[in-house]
Amino acid sequence: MHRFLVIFKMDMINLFKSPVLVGYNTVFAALLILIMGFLSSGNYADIKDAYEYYVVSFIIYGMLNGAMTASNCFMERDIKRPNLRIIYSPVGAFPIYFSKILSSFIFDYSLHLLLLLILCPMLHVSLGSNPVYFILLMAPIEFAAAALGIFFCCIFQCEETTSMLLSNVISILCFLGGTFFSLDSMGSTIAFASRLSPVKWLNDAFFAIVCDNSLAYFWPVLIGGTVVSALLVLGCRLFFRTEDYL
Amino acid sequence: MRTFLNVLKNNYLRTIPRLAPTILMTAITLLTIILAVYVTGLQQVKGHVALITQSGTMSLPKSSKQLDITVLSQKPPHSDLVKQKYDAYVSVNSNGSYDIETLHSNDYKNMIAFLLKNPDAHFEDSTTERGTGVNIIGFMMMFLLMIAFSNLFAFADDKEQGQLHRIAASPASFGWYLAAHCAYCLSLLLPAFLMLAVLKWCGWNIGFSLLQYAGLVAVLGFLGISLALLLHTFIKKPDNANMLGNSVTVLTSVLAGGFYSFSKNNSVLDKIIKLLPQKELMDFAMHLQNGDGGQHIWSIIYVVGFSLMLISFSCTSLHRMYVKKV
Repeated sequence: MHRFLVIFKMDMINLFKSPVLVGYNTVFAALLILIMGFLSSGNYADIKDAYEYYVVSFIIYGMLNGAMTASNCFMERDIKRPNLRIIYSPVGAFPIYFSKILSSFIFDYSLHLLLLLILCPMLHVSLGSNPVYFILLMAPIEFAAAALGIFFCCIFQCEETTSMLLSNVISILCFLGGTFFSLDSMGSTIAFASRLSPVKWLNDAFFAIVCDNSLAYFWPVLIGGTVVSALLVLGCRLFFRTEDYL
Repeated sequence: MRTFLNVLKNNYLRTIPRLAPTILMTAITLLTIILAVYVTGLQQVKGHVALITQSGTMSLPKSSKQLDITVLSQKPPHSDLVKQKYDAYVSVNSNGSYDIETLHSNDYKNMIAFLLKNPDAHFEDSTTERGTGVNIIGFMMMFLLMIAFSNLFAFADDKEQGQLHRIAASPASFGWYLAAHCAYCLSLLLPAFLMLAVLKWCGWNIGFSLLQYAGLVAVLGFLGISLALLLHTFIKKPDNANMLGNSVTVLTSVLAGGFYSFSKNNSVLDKIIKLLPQKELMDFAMHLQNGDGGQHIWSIIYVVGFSLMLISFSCTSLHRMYVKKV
């Protein structure tokens, strides 16, 4: 356990020391929310409704992009060599990828909470009558996203391929799921395509909590996220090969 | 010239192990073209209304060209309004009057009330219609710019791994070396252009002529390369440069109205947005569609000039950092 903690601490420090990653998860996300909310506020009677939509949808976008944080912290060129040394130490392979998953999960989660803490009072957006549910539901999604990033790294064994693939897949799913603007009102064919995107399901669940105080989607998403996380960690275990580092 | 050909050939060879992501990226761009053509063909309605009524005996207003009406017996949750699944909830009172609940402004509310009473009335559109061509360019814009970042991988790798120092010290021409990378990036935009040509050949309406598309795509590609070259020059790690570049591209492309033109009358913000080369390009495409592109040639010159400025800036910096130092 102590050995794991040492690696974990190193990973955390590495993440918080990277200005691009910190900026991507805070400044960039905040800018996206503010700009999109401001641009679309002309359509609404109350400016708060515009921001409400984009706070929720871009937090989901940010959570899924946590996969990029994870892949970045796992397979960056500077980190590959230290990883190789850990493999040959008595710690074994498991702490390498699991500490990366855990640290990028905590990194993203804390930054997104900080973002919500600043933006929600500033824009008068409420996260439902009990924000605890919203925050609780974020956890498995963040974890699954981090595990997905590592899983892709294990399969493709190259950080650039992974991050390009992931960023595109996530962008497309988010676009379909209505992150940038709602596709529900664009005809039945597009609305159907939108429903195929998992981002849409997440959007539905979070909006149900925020707007309706309804917990109908809470447990399915929470359990689904946990199961997906567990499966992805299992997948990392299967596909993580030490030979890739040589 | 020999440097140019050798680097170009080398770049293609280096693409082979990265074939899968390159093909995926191209496929996405091709999909957006089809999406753009499809979206343009859609009939735009003024609003989606959920009509809530318990009794089915009353004569209810029907969906018209302007209004898409869904009759429901129970009120949908408030989140459907926020998610814009419906623009308004209309409940019918016992005396036949309507109660309208919407997040939009009062003007919108009045328009819905009016359209419910007079389904055939016609409201003039205040925004100009965007044609297929403008939509295709707008949808492709973000992806073409992002492609440039990933396609400059060869240059980024050379720089990170120190090959650039060796190239600068060798008798090979540094200018031709950079030109080869640019030519390589531009050549990877060909599939998108070929796709447009095929669509045109199959008889689809794609808005502009192929020559116009060639020009617009080349300008877009050039803009992407200049931005990517700048970031790769000044940021040491390629992944950091890619990540920053992708964020900037997403942000500015959305602001420039690539997917969706915003109606926001804010003069300060409008002036800032006008500075974005993507916005100028969209404006030019819009004028080109309306047939008066010649008068607005400055917009496109601004974009090209912007790219040239970025490229010359990165070139001089690279020259200072590598060639002179040796």
